[in-house]
Amino acid sequence: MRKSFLAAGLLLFTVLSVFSALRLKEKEEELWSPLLAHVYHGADEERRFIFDVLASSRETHHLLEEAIKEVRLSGADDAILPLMLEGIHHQESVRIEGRRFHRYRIEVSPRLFIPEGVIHIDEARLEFIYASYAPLSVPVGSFVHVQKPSVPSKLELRSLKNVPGDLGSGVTSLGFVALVENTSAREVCVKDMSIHAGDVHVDAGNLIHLEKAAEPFIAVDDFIADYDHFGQPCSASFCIDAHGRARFFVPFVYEKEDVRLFRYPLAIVHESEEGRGVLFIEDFPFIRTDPFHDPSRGGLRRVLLD
Amino acid sequence: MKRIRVFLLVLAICLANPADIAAGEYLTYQDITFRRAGQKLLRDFTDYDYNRAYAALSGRRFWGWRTHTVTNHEPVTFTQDTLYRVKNEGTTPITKDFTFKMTEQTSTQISASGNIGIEASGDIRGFRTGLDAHVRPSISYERTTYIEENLDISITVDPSTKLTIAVYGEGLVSNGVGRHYRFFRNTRSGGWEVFVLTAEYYSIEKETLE
Repeated sequence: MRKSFLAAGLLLFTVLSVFSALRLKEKEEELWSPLLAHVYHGADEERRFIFDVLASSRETHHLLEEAIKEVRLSGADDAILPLMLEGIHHQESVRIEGRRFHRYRIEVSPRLFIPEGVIHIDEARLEFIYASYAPLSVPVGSFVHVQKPSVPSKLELRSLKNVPGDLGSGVTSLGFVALVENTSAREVCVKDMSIHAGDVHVDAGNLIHLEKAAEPFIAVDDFIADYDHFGQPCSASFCIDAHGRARFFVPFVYEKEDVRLFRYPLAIVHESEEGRGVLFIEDFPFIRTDPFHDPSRGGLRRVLLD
Repeated sequence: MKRIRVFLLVLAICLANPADIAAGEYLTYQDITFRRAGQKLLRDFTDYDYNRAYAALSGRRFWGWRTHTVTNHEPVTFTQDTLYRVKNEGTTPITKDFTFKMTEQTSTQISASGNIGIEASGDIRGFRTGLDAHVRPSISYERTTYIEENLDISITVDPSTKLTIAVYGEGLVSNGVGRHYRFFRNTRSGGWEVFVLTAEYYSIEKETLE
């Protein structure tokens, strides 16, 4: 009789323990962050860097502004960019496979004056230091800050269209089609092109000159069959006659499979007898998509919260 | 007697048939083109299409929905809008800081025809009378609000030039028909459609004015 009670008690204890463990697992708080190639330019004091995250709870202290003592970006090579927290805003709630998440926009600004030149942080992580809790480190992709060049341009942009595609983690930018015009009375030669996106590079060596305007919906395959987006980027140059135009497609190569690129600045470096010039297009949102749309596709990182 | 009256009242409420017809915002896009030929949006369904789809439904049921899917997650492209268009008919270039207001659309939008209604369930729009459970099981992601964002960009528009910033996009369309039964009686019927916006693309175009 006593043994039966003991066995029943043990069974009840086991059932309750499993149940509690399952309940605890259900309540586990988590944060989801998209891996993006973040590209910013300019030196204005109001420059804000934006990072969007999904949180499984709206009550998490990790995103309470009052609880955060310090914010910074850190990189793979010990690079650290100190930041000022400008605000954390709840934007919306989303339902993913029946579970409710909360989307937050984290706005930060550089704490120090960013000098001229390019800041490149590879494998960037947004780090939060708290007064009373353990620090939190959120992978965000790569981060680049570039200054707008002050060199005048002999070229003018007439048309710019993004070429989207999917490398396995959802839609991303795989190249662009541009029409540029030489506004000078002398021949101008394009020497270099850059989008300043950390993990994504312009492959000018595979530039294709086009005769006519591209259709609204275009893919890389429309220009180059079986293009390898993970190859080595090459440089190349071409010249545009005085008052002439050049329409071309340029593909991008990626260093990593799971990084996505939605917006970027474009710098076309050119030379003529009159000297060097740069056609600089400010960062433009070529693609607007919800980076959290399909969590099963990769390109998102999950961080468990303590 | 009182019980019978209450029963009749409940029955009347159950059999009530409000005729709500509602359309998602995606139907305001300038053109929607299926990548695969032979597909149609619900608004383009003819009587023949409806009759053929209804014929594919199995028989009556005591209570609930019978549905048939005609189009299942078919990719579409669309021209959503011209975000900005400015003409410089003067003789000097205009360099201006433009601010565009961009709205992040709800990724899932729905439309219905016939007397399949749309209702707001909490903060998410859905089909009435539990049709959602039948036609949206594969839609795993839903947003609840719009996000507005300002884009500031400095663009030079030369004399005799027109600047256009256009928005294109891609999405997935699923549609079909459904019939709802109560006590074997058909109380609602019509078409349903779910549009999932996957991406929007912006382009800059400067054309010389003739």
